Amino acid sequence: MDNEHKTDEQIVKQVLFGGIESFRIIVERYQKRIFGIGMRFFNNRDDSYDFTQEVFIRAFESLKSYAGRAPFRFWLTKIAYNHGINRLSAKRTESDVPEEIPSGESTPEARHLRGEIRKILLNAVNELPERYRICVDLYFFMELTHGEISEITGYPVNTIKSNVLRAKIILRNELKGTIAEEYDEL
Amino acid sequence: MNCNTIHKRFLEMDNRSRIPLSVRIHMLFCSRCRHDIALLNSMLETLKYDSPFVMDRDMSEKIMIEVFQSPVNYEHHISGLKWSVVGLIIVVSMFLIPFSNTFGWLRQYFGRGLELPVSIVLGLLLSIYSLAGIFSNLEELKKFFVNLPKKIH
Ligand SMILES: [Zn+2]
Repeated sequence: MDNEHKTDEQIVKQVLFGGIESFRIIVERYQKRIFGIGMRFFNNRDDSYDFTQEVFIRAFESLKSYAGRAPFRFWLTKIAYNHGINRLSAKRTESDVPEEIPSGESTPEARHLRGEIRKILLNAVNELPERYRICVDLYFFMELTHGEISEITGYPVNTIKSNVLRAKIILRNELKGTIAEEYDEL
Repeated sequence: MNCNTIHKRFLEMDNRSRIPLSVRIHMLFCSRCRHDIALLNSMLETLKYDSPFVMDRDMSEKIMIEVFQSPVNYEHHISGLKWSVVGLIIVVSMFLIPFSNTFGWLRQYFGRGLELPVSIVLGLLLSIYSLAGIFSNLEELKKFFVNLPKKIH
């Protein structure tokens, strides 16, 4: 089986047995999503890039503590979330930075349908209370369950459930319009 | 159950859970829901490997450089002590071979001419094992021999 098709957990084992180069696959699989978590916390690209790098280094250095009971995704998200909280509180004491509106419109990728769906979801999520947005991201992009998100963030499961549901409803209603027909033709 | 309830049930589903039976049964008979749910499902699928924010840089190279420079290393290493213990066990079992029943039986069958080739093969295997042990512990051995004169004095 080639590396691309291995599960995260199999790759982690490989890394722990000395195949450090395999960690690249983990980075390639998750960098966009970790960057996304960074954007939720910092609303700033440079900070999010630094954050992404720091999260992966932390994950690598504590890889031995991953017991393999929960999915690796969950473990990685936990590291990212905690690091985000710590980094944010350290940053807030430094200075209060004006918030930048996240943008994803300028690249050619965004012209594609996939970009469109993402934009719709981004808008849908932006209609939710700010502090729950990250929960919805974790649900859609990290594929975590309500319970796992609750464990990471400390928010009640029901709150997470209702926010995810709200995002899904907004998403569905938006999709009913323009995108749905286009998608049908594919 | 009407279509709206079914939709709501579907939307309430958690990640990594199965589509509820009631929804699946309804989908069997209602083509509209079948279509809508399949559409929504495929949309959600496309989101999985993504992020709401566009990342315009590939960080993997930069991260891997740091990973290789990290003080944490997961080299798979068998300690010198383990090599020696296993080596000792091998040597002891080699000495015990002539006393085993199987060897006695083989000797009966092939005569005394068997001992020499068996000894050569075992000796060869032991040498290979020792060499492998020494080469995989070169660093440790180097440290040991560098510190040896200090210990003697
Ligand atoms: Zn229906």
